[in-house]
Amino acid sequence: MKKLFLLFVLVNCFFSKGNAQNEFKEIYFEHQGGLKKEKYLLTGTVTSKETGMPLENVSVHIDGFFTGINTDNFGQYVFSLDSGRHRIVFRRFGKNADFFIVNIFRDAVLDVTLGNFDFQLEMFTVMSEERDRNVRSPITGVTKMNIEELKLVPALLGEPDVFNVLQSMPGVTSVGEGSGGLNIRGGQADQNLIMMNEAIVLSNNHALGFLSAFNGDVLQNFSLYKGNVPSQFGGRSASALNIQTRNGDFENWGGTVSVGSAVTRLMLEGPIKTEKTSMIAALRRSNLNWKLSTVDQLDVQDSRLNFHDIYGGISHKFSQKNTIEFNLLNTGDRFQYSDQFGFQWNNFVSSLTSKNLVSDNFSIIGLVALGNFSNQFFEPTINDGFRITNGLEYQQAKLSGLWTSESVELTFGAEAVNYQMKPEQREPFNETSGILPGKVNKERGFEWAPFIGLDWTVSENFSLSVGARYSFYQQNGPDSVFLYQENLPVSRLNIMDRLAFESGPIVSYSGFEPRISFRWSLDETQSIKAGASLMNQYLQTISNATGPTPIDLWQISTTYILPQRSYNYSLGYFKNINENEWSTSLEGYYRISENQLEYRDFADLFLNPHIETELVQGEGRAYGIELLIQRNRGIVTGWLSYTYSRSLVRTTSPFREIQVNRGEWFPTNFDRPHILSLVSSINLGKKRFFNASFNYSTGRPVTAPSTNYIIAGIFIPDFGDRNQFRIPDYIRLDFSYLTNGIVRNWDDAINFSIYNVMSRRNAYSVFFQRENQSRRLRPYQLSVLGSIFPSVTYSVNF
Amino acid sequence: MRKPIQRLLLIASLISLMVIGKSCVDALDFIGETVSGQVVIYGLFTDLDSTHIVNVGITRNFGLNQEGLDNALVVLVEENGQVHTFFSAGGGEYRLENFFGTPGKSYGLRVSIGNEVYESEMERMPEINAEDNVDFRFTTQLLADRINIPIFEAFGTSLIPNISEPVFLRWTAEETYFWPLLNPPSVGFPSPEPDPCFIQGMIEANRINLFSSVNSQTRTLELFFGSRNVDDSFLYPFFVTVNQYSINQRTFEYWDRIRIAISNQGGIFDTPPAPVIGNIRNPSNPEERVLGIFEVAKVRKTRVFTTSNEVPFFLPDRCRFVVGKPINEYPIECLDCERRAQGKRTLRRRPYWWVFQ
Repeated sequence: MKKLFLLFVLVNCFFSKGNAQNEFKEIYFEHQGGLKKEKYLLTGTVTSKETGMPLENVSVHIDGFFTGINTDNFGQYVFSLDSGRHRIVFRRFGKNADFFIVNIFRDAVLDVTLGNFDFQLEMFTVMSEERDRNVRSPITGVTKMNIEELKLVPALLGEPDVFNVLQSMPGVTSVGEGSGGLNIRGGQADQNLIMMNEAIVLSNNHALGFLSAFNGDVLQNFSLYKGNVPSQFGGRSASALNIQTRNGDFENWGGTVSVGSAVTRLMLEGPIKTEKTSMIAALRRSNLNWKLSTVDQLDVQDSRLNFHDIYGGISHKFSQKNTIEFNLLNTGDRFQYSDQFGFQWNNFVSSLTSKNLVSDNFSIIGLVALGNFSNQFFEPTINDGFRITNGLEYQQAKLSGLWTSESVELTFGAEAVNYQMKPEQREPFNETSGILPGKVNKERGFEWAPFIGLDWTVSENFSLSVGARYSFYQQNGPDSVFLYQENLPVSRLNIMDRLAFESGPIVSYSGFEPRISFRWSLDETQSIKAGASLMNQYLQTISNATGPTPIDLWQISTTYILPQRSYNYSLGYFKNINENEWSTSLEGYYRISENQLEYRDFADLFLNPHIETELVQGEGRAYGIELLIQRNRGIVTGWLSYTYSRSLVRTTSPFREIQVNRGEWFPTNFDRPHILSLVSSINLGKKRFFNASFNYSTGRPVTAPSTNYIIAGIFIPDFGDRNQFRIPDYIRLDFSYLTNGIVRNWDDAINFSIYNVMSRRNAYSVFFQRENQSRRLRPYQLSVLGSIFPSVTYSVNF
Repeated sequence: MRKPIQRLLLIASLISLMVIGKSCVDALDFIGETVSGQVVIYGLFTDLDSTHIVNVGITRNFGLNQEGLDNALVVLVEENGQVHTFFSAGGGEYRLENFFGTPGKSYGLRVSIGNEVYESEMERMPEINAEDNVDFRFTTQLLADRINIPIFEAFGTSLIPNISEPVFLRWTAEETYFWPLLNPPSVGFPSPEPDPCFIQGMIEANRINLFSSVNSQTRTLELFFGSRNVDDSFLYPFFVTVNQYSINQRTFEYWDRIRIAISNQGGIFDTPPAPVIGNIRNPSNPEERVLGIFEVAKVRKTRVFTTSNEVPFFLPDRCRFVVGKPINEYPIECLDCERRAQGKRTLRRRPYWWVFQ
């Protein structure tokens, strides 16, 4: 009852009223002779007060309305104004807004400096007023957020986390707690392109998916494109998530030390050469094992869970127009369950980015990145303990140009990625193991795509975003292609021959990927948007587990594993209320995918030279409606989101024996029709915040026995069609309390988080076992987190 | 401003919450609907000169075990076409005696139920067994509630023959113990001595011990056959028989999948459950999925025994005869072998191998 009351209070607070006060600086740009004009150009650069770096995505508001204009990558803006007096506001989340009254009677330059948001303020604006982008932007299904917003969402382990926040947004879900990866608008986890500063990141979570691999200390913001992915992003068929890290301080040295019950962090930043070169480095390490030792199960007590991530970034400004950045991310995880089995995975991504402003309205960005992902699992069993390792290396290069004018933004360029899968190897776990070493060489492939995109503000009420990408893919030797008997399923029993390719192309695919989206404004506060896109995917994960795991095999397309392709359609209505205090949206989507991968029953995926014999391809269908109500400023801020969605799949083999569920549609592992999230943050004043989040979703599908029988004294469940039952619904309530200034004169903060306040044992899965000597099977539910999970994190900035 | 002591109390209370550790497995209330009418056939044919048994049944609703079918015709088919008919022993059990398999030869099973005929693949009997060495120990096991319980464990080693052909092995362990039935003195003519009661059952039936020499150069395997609680079953001689079945690859894969199906705990890394297909088909209806398998195995049995002298724990004897104690005050299992067995198999004659050497 008390919990319900708390929820009631929260909801009431959510709808309470806030206020804000602003001061305008008046500036005159007097006429200086010549002909008077009706309109004048106002241009300038917005920079950070703290770092001196240009600020992109600063929104410009004129006379109370967002113009749709944001500063570009170089912090620059340009627009024309009617001669006369205007109120102009520059806003960006995490920064104090700057307010001007501009009297303009000539072309003028107005450079603006925005300082960091000051936590001393009594009122805290959770969402920036850039939120009216949701009405003005021509692209559907975009979610943007920055680190300050992330910190206000309660999280497991007390860590501000991108994935945690995303799962409370409409259209985003996952298989369950402890399962890595996100499922966005009915897409599989491997259908999301996840990038750090546009460099591909394959392994992106820690601790079996409870935490993303991106340290909050170095994050600047993230953008999730789930509806219409811009043409400069490709290679995945569902969504794109770009996580932007920040540069180090160009003027002063500083850092953060953070000690928590689950994670310890250290971040250091500062100028290598003042105002020219800066660096930032961050280290995060888990300290969770003490928690495992408190669990009343000997096997869990003997288990170990460790992870770390290291981030490094160096930025150098050759001039205000030419910069270069180097970023590096290394993550590592190791999980061992007692002496029975374990997993270990490591990821290394480094990128070099050059940003060059060629002219006032033309810039070029070049990127080269290297990625190296490796994983292993091991079973230190008595007789034949073994270790299996595999992984993927890739090299990515991207060159893009951006040309802007008053109403047009043209993006164009090309991207190439070279994939080299690492040989899969089996080794004895120790000297006493009798396991025979084994090795299977894996494939290599090359993908490249030119792209072009145009954002055109046709009129005040209508804007259009069109783009195209043409992707080429080629699998290259050396590799062997197995030949199978005709008119029989691809199976190890039907192998006829093997063709060996020493080098050169083995198979190639290509595809045109058009994307279009438009916005039609009904007035300044409401708009309708629609979009359609086609995307191809040549790299996917292969797994024989219920949900995505960090050790899933990354597999490129081959002769038998055809590229995935998706057709995405979306339509939305967006409405902002009370000068963007409230943002609301209602979006619908429909998605069709081809060549989606399903595993065959008891698929044997490891050290398999003909992995296609364990897979069957099919088609997917997903649709849904997403509602988002968001409060952007006031004492209580946050959002309420509801999604109704379905995600279905069916296999399309002509051979009955390898079809799943006889080729009929069945729900995917992550099909959750109803998802509801309420996230709220209450500013208690004096730098204290109370945050709460409530999550509900329909239980996911599982495969259950259709009957049971006994043979040889063994009680055996006979499992029926795949995913025909559902686990119980998921409900979770989290709280966090954030306060600053624990120690006098220190810039410190303490975060108390309580994950799963209701101590509810949400089911991850259901399994069936015989109860003692009973003659029936009984269902049991497995909860990954079976109790309340509190954590404390204390951090000091210096 | 909050006082320091209040802050400490707040932190202490939160830290105390952190030591809450609970089990994460809970039973659910619902029993899923189950399908009835699927045919279940399990047969084991070996090289031993003993009774070979085939069970024929049909699945039932409400999650109950299959119901035995007694109206089937069950025959063993040799590779030369010769057939041997099993006789019905009731309860869906069919027996074949006085015939045993020859290693290296292939055998099949044909079961006719009404108009439907079910046939297995022809399965070749392997020619090689490994050499088992079985041992046991009495120990204790710490339960989750911190209580130590006495348990009996059977374990051992297996010496795998050094041959180039792959070897596929499966082990089961069964217990046999003597249970003397109470024969209280009677007035007048002495009552006849009851038949001896031997109770036989599997030890941890759901533990499936498998080994494949494919990808392994291990030649000495360490094995754990199973454990059970120490109780009054150990008051009298207690035998452990380890059956080692040398099987072919197809049968090995079947049992490996059964092992996955029954050990599924719903974990994150568990292989998703799926139906397990055996080697029995209905040729006239390929869509019909027959549950079970017909396995052909070369068997080696290894036995060890223990007596109460070796049990380091106190064993209460509730059936000890006490003069003057009314017969109805003894537990019923002291008088009735079947009641004692609780569904396990009973032997009312001393087995030929019940020898203490």
